Amino acid sequence: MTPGTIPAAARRAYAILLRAYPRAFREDVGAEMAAAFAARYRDEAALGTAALAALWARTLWDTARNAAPERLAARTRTRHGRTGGDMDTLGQDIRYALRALAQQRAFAIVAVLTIALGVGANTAIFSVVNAMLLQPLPYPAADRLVVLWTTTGSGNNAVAWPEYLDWRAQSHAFEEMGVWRGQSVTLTGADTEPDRASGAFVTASFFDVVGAQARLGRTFRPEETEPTTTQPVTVISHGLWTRRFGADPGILGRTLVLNGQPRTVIGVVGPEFEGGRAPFDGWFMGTEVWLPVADFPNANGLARGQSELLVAARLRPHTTVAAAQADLSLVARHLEQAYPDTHARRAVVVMPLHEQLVADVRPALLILLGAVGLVLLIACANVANLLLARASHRQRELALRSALGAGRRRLVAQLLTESMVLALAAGVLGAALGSFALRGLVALVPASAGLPANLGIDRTVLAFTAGLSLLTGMVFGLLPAWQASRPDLVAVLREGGRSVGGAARRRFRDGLVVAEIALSLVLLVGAGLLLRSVSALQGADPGFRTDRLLTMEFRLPPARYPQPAQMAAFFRAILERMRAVPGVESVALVRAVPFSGNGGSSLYEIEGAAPAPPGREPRTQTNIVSPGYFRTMGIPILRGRDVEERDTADATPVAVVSATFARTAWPGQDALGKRVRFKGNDRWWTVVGVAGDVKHGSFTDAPAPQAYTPHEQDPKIFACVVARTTGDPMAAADGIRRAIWSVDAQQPVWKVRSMEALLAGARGPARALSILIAMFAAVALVLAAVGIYGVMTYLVAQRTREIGIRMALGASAHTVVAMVVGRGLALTLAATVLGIAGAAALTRTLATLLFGVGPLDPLTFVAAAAVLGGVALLACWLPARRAARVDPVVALAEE
Amino acid sequence: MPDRSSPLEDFLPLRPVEFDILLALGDGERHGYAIMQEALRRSDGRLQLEPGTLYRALRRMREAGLVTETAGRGQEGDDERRRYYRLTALGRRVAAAEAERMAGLVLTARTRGLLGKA
Repeated sequence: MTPGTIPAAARRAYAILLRAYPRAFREDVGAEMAAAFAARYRDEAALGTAALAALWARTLWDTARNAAPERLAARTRTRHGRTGGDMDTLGQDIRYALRALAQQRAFAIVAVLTIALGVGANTAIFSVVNAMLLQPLPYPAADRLVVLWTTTGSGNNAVAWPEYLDWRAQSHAFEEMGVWRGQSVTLTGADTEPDRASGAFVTASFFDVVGAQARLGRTFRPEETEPTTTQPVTVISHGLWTRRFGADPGILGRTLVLNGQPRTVIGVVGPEFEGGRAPFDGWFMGTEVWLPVADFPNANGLARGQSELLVAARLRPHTTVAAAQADLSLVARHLEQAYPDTHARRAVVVMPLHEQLVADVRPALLILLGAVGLVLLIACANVANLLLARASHRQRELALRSALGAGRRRLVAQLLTESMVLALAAGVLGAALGSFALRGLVALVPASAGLPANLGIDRTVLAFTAGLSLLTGMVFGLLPAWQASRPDLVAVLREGGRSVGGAARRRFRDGLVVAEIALSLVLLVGAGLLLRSVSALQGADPGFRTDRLLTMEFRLPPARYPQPAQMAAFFRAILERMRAVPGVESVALVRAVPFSGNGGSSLYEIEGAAPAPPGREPRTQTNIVSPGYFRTMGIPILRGRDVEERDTADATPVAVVSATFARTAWPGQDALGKRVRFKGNDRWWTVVGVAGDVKHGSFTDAPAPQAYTPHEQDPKIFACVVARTTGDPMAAADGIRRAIWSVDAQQPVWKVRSMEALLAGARGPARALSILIAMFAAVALVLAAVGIYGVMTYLVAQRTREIGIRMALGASAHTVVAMVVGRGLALTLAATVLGIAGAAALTRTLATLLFGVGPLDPLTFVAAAAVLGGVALLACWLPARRAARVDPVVALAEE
Repeated sequence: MPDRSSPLEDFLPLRPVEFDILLALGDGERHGYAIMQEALRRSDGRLQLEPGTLYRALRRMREAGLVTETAGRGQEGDDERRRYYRLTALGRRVAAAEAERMAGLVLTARTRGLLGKA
């Protein structure tokens, strides 16, 4: 544990924070605090960036909370002894700063507002980051929880039951491993209406993995979830228990009918599994009923090669993810040798659970955080510029104080105190603005982006805001203070108080303006790319007609429909009734509706082709459809025919494949009449039609092979209704539900949504992101414009006399305007070059979020530069016009 | 309960952080970072003492005579600046008195039905 193991910048930053404490305190324990911080830093750095950010937030809060009282205490001590401690000077400086700022109220207001804008944006975005990325999972020692995946190269896949058993028996890095598989469950019974509950099929060990205890009763025993000894028992969630059973303590031992089968309730788990904890929802959080994994309805799901299950595990203490990965990879290699057919090239992935759960939201949030960081930097540059201008006017005052014996250190401290007072005022205002902005943010971001319900300004956020404000004060205050504190005494006092702007100082101010224009160009380019991407998304063709389309889901309880023929009969019956519903133009069933989040895929084999080596078989998306699906969806049949009524269980198995499938499987040939076989199913399916490609998962999907088989020939318990309606799709929902209930009154249906709503969900997060970035870019643009306006105005004021002389010597107003604007444009041009280079380097981080536009899209870059140039030109022209109106007589008379 | 007239009463109730430090030093001397780690371990990761809070409390407690610095047992590779703290006899008595005070509170809470029956 030597402090040398942490970055020098972190050590220095902490040393700066330590200066907030009184000197005596620092001399006593400062070194030890630095050492303790270094040790913490090293520990947290091992856990990733989020942990480090949290450490900094806590450290800032710690300093803010302890330094002030310690100073007060130190002051009380010195009062009784010698006079003139740190605190006395500080108090004096603060009083002086307040007086100075009160005298220049306009300056103070502009500076505070500018910084508050930046701090407020950061507060709002950090609240989201805090709630979504930094929140720990609600389980004991959750940093040891991991998810285990299989992979054959691209993307992560689920796990097969025998594979899980092998992993569990042969690996050493894990304390415990458990299986879960989420699937909705129908809940029926004498005293309850038919309903759908969110279910999870688990092993007993799953609860040990997450470290969950039953709130009431107990969780499963191992023998209750084993396939050979499984028992009809269930554990229910705290939420279901309170909502549905009024928190009845007599729930234990009661019978619930789940998926058509009676089960005894043996336990209620605690609230740590409740939903509403975005971004953790959708995995096992929000599960309402827990069932033994052996009762997972997909009966073949437990065979080797059937990857249907998800595995969670708890690392042994002090075991790293890398060590666990190495350990499990060894097991995977053994399995590859033992089962070459099913395990060829099948590798494993050990992923920390928290990282897995936030993976979807992390890129967008980090980009937002980066964007608001830029806005704040621009605001800092602006205020630093204001301070510099102000310092020029105060040179006489500073020189006087210096002449009276104030050391440079003292002057810097005084000027820095003013910045800090400004920054703190901005921090308070920024926190308020942030909380306000957060409310707007919640309204703007669609539910599909999954903002947590408990979003708010908590202690961590406040600590962040406080720390950020102090840091901001340092950033914008330090350099101007340093510059201003070395006035050339003689020159200033002799010139009678007129400001002298040294060349160095002017260059410095120019540099600040160039920096802020360049930074705002980066934001403008980012915003432009995201907006173009959203517009491309809006116009993107999913491959089917999206208007007036209603979708809903249901799952037949296997206990009541044990035979495929019974399922097929049910499907036929509801199709017939649904067609008769008023307002329904055409209706069909499909296993997985595009953009619904459902979907299946399978390895396939082409008749007559040489078999691909194990692990290299081609994969296709699969779907199961009723007659009329393609017509209902408006998916074009390019060749052959739709699935029809004649494709019954006894008829030849047929399939419709997508254009991409046909092209991949039979390049240059006619797909019709060819046969294909899917892994895990011995039948050969004859291709009778070729349909257009459909975007299934998201708009960004690359075209993938897709294959459709008829419901009658391959009935599954889960299906969705798709109905093309004549009017508002939601208006037909009730009729369709009643049509289904007229066949089976016990059958719940859910997720009744229009296709437009599904697509809005798919487009929503990208839209929200682009709107936010565009807003930040607009703020940045305004700040940059104010910045260049300020510099040019100052330039004109400084050179009034020179301009007067020039005009007296015959320079036209035109020449003067050209001179001022030319200078502004030179700065803008330099900034544009820098900004474009910066943007080109940074937009790569956006690449995964873009759709239909490249990260280096020239049109966007040119447009952003043009907008910025136009605004800069306007900001220069206003002061230039004022310069041109300079009356030479007045200007020279000022002497 | 300790004698009512005992000067120990002057120290009670302890601030939570002070009691945590006394607990952490209960089984021997530790340096500051080790006190942080011990508090973290004992609370299953819930109690993270921050350096500012910890060292302010340590300074206070040193002045009050509850803890004292030891010469330190500089181990191989240890940072030379590291200082070790241990309980004084007074500190040990104050910790015991605080624990008894808390036990009394718990007992009261239980008899009033605020806690489950033991």
